[in-house]
Order: sequence, then C-alpha cells, then structure tokens
Amino acid sequence: MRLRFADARAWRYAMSAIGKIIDEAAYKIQEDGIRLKAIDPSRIVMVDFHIPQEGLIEYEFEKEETVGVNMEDLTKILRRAVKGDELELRTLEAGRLAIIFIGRGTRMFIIPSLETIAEELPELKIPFTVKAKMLPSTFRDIVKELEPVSDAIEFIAVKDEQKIIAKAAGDIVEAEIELSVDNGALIEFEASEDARAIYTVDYLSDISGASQAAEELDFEFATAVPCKINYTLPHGGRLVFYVAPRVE
Amino acid sequence: MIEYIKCSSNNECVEIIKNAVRNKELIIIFGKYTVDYQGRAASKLTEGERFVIIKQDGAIIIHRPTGYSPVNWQPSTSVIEVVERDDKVVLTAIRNKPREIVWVYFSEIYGIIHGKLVDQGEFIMYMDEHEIRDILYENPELIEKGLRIIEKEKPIGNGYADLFGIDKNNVPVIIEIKRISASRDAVLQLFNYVKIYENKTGVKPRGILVAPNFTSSAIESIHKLGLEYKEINLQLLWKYKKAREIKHGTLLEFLEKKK
Repeated sequence: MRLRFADARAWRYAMSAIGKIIDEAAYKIQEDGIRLKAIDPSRIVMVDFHIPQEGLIEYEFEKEETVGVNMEDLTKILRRAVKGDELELRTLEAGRLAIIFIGRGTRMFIIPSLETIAEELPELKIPFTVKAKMLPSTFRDIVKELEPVSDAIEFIAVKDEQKIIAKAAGDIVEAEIELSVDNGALIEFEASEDARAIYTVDYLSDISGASQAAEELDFEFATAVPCKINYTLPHGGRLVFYVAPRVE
Repeated sequence: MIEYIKCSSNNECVEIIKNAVRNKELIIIFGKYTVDYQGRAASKLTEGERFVIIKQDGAIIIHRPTGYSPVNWQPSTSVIEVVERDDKVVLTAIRNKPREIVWVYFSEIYGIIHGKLVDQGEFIMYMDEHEIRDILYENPELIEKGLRIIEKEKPIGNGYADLFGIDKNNVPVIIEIKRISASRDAVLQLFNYVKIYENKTGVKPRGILVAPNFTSSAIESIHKLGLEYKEINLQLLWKYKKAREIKHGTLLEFLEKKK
C-alpha cells in the first residue's frame, strides 16, 4: 500500500488526539480508503477515522490489510510535520511502515508495524436530539475555558431558545458558555427537544486537540447518551469521536 | 505558650532569640535583612522586608512576603548563633554535612514570635495500601502490559500476597505492594512468597515489588534474588481513585442496548 495525503499537519493533530485515547491502532487498508476504528480500554471513548480514496492525492491499493502501529511512535514522528508538508505512508516488507514527509526535501521515517487485529466494532446508533455545527476552534475554546473549573462539562440544549449552554461547576467557581447561531458561536443548530448530558472534561480535552486538523465540527448529543464529535478533515476525511456520558 | 515580642534594642532581640534557640522553640522573626549563603553554591539576597522561621529541630526557612516557596532554607542545622555586630543582629546557621552556612543580617527587627508547639498528630495519606491494591487490581496495566490479575490477598504460606496474576506469557506473578518506600524487608517478604509458591507448585513465578520508591538495599536485593520491581506514581493512582468515584456510562452499554 502507498498513499499520499495533501496535508501532513492534519494527520499530525488527528493522530495526536487519537494517541491520547488508544496506545495501539490497527489501520484497515481497504479499497475505498484507510480506516481506523477503535475503542479505549475503559470503553468510554470510541474513535472512527476515515480517509476515503478521493481524499488522497495518490492511492496504490493491492490488497486489504491491517497495519498495526504504536501510537506513541507514530505521533512522535508526525510531530515533525510542518506547514506545506505532504504525507506519504507506505507499507514495506518485513512488516514495516514508512512515514514520509514531502515538503522542503523528503524526510522518511520507518517504524515497525505491530501484529494487531482490528477490533470488529459495531456501529453506534444513538438517538441524538441535538446537532450543532461549529468551528473546531470554538469547541476547543469551550473545553479550554471550562477545564480549569471542573472535571466535567454539562451540555444543556434549550430548543425554544435555539442555544446550547456549556456549564462547569467546581467547588468554588462556576462557569457557563452560551452558544447559539445568533451570538456567532454556532454555524448551525438543530434540536428536536431539550437535552442535558455531562461528559468528562479530560476526554473532551484530548479530543479537542484534533481541532487544529479540521475544518468543521458537528457536535451531537441527547439526554444522558454518548455525544458524537465529528470533525470534517480537509480533502474529505472525517474523524469521529464518541464519548460516553457520566451517570448521575 | 506563644509570645509576641517587639524588642526595644538589638541587644534585647539577640537575647530573646538566643534563649528561644537554646530552649528549642519555634521562632519567627520579622524584619529587614540581607541573606548570604555559602555551601554547595553561594547566593546573596539583598535587603528587604521578610521573615525567618527557625523550627524546633533547627530547620531554618527564609520567606519573602510573596510566593509559597522559601528563598533560602537549611533542612537542619548543627549550630545557630546570634550576635550583635555593627548595629546589626547577625544570625548564623551552620549545617555540617554538607557544610552549608546561612547568614542573616538584620538591620531592623520588627517583632519576634516564639514558643514551643506540641504536635503529636498523625499525617494520614488519603490512600492506603488496600486502596492502591484495589486500583492496581482493576488496572493491572499500571504494573505491566498484558498482566491479568486473578486474586487479591492470595494466601501463600503464613502470609497473603497482595496480588496474584498471570503475565502475557502465562507465567504466574506474585505482587507485593508498599505504600511508602520499599525496604529490604519487603523484598525478603516477596522472596518468601515466591519460594513457597515454587516449592508447592513446582512452577517458578515472577515476583514484582510495587512501591512509589525503593531503598538502594532493596534494589540490590531484588537483583540478587532474581525479583523485579515497578515504581508506581501515587499521583496517577490518586487520579484513578478519583475516577473510580465517578460513575461513567460506557459505550458498550449503548452498543448492547442496540443489539
């Protein structure tokens, strides 16, 4: 397999966020593109990363295969990606993976691929009642601002007022961020009913690191169900995280 | 009893501090002073308003009015000397090993608090050995990847091994946990479990001593006896402990519901 992606930095931030959730990843090389689906050991966060064939500049596919990677090794190398770099991934003989940055010069790193079996995870079908589209940086700012206040963020959607309130309450301090299309925080908002759910801030913080990789973000949730954070990556890829809620 | 004194002369200040040092009292001196230090390095603190704490065991801490950490300190002192020299009260604190000297030159002393405090309270860490064991039981990857824990408090001989499990190569593992620095005694205790288990079953288990830190003699013995050790980060365990108190849903529940 050989693939070439236009923006190495998108991979850098996406993989760095994924690397905070799982230690080892099994990438499935399929005819329609590359996919990684994994769940963290505590079963609280699931990641679904997919770059379709159309999102790649070049794609040489021979056979379906699974490439196992140690995420720490991969993210360490991807940190080298700078603006203007393209990324090439190539499977080599003897189970090795070449990570090549093509920009100012060509830099190649080779890591061993691991023998891993991709976990067969069924699709999550969650009855979301709220969907908000926002800039990835808005999401990142929400998490960043509420993180010092508490270890959890409560999202409240008020259907009639067409807004989401992100709340955090610590022992002393309370903080609230109002998000709506009117105040410019959201690009789109849809809600079929009022909703309220609490998510652990650590997970959201890890995930929000991927904001730098993405162009748009869809945030979906409903009362006491997992939330879905769907990043639209440049050139047609997507990076989706599901986070289980806290139980009160 | 604690006394607050505003002395009228340098001479009076010297006498009060001297007496308090002699009686091994806690002393806090507020004033305007400079500090010189010489020892493993050298430093100079120019004049300013601050306070000096001399603790009952001779430890000296020099604090500026802001910040939580002291600017100079002496963990223990062999000699504390107070004299009046050139219109200044000079406090000299000498530590013998390593040789370190702190000089405090008071141009003015605003006040002195001194007295004896009695403190026999116990410092309780909010995580005991059982809690550490339970967290490791639930998260064996904190000890080693691929480790599966089978039993807590496994009776072996006359004692109980904290944790017993199987590693990724199916080798039995006996784990002994210490909340504080693990000493040679802990190593011998673990070795004893390993030997008893081996004699009884004919299978040589691995023995891992788990603790936040280890004395050098403990590490030496671990190597000599063919055992292993794993340092654990108590701060990380504290996070796990807090996380245990939080009830979290999992995605699996949602998957199962949909099945």
